[in-house]
Amino acid sequence: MKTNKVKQTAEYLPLTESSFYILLTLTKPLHGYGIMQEVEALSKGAVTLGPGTLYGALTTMEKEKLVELARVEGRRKVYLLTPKGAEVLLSQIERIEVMLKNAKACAADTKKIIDDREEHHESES
Amino acid sequence: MNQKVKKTKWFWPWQDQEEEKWLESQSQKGLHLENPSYFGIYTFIEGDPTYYQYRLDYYSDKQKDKDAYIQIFEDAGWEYLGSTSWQYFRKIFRKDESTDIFTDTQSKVKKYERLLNQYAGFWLIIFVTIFPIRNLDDYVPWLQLVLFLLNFAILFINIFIMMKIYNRIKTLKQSIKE
Repeated sequence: MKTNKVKQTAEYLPLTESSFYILLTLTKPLHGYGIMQEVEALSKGAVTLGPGTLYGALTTMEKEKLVELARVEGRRKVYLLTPKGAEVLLSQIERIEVMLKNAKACAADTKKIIDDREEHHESES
Repeated sequence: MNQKVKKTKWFWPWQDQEEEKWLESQSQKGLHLENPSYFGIYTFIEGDPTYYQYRLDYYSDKQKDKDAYIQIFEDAGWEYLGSTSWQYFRKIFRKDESTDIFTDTQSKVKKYERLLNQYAGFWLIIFVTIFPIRNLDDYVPWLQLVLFLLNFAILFINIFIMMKIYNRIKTLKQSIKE
């Protein structure tokens, strides 16, 4: 027998970079190809989505009710974020904000390690 | 009318990447896959040599939203060639374009898990055919023996295929951890 265990928001975290960007673009209704283009533009080309990966991700997200079908345009399915999907996305955004705050706080010290080593090398030579 | 050429070549279910490469080498010789089919029989159409990228995905033909599936690939510039449960796509190779249909390891793993599930389903067929055979015993012993041997051959090939696919999944999963 299949048990339909409902996943809690925390169980989705952290989202992979691809999943994060897919959910981000679906705050507006978009079809598959629209998502691909949008993700590539938003991430400045750092994240590209292959059609196999995107189709699989959308199918899973629809099954888990993170996204839903908004409408059908010919053979294209247009998806939109559900309230549950929005919750997961917001939690991920909060996580990223904490990461960013910590990153900024440590950036100066991190740079110093590199600079110190370079100075050391310079004084040696 | 362009000439059609039939070729036979056998690939095991875990040799999808080898099959892609073979199809690419055929296209570079000017033989372009027209229609994939079962039992390793391929129909090609003769044409100009082309640098095609062939890619195989796996979905059983029970897939519900096939139209939407094919559309996403076509929008991304892939040509759909047909299905034997393996889904065949191709695209002309360009340096500046991404040439993979899977862009993360997770989705590659899922493809082989779908394949593995399909072979797990064969177990049912094997058990269904093994049990009634016992009752043939009294009537035609040689037939019972032949069927039994056949069943075991299928059983062992099936186990071997599943092990090979499972290994592929394990290797992919290890690459995530590294």
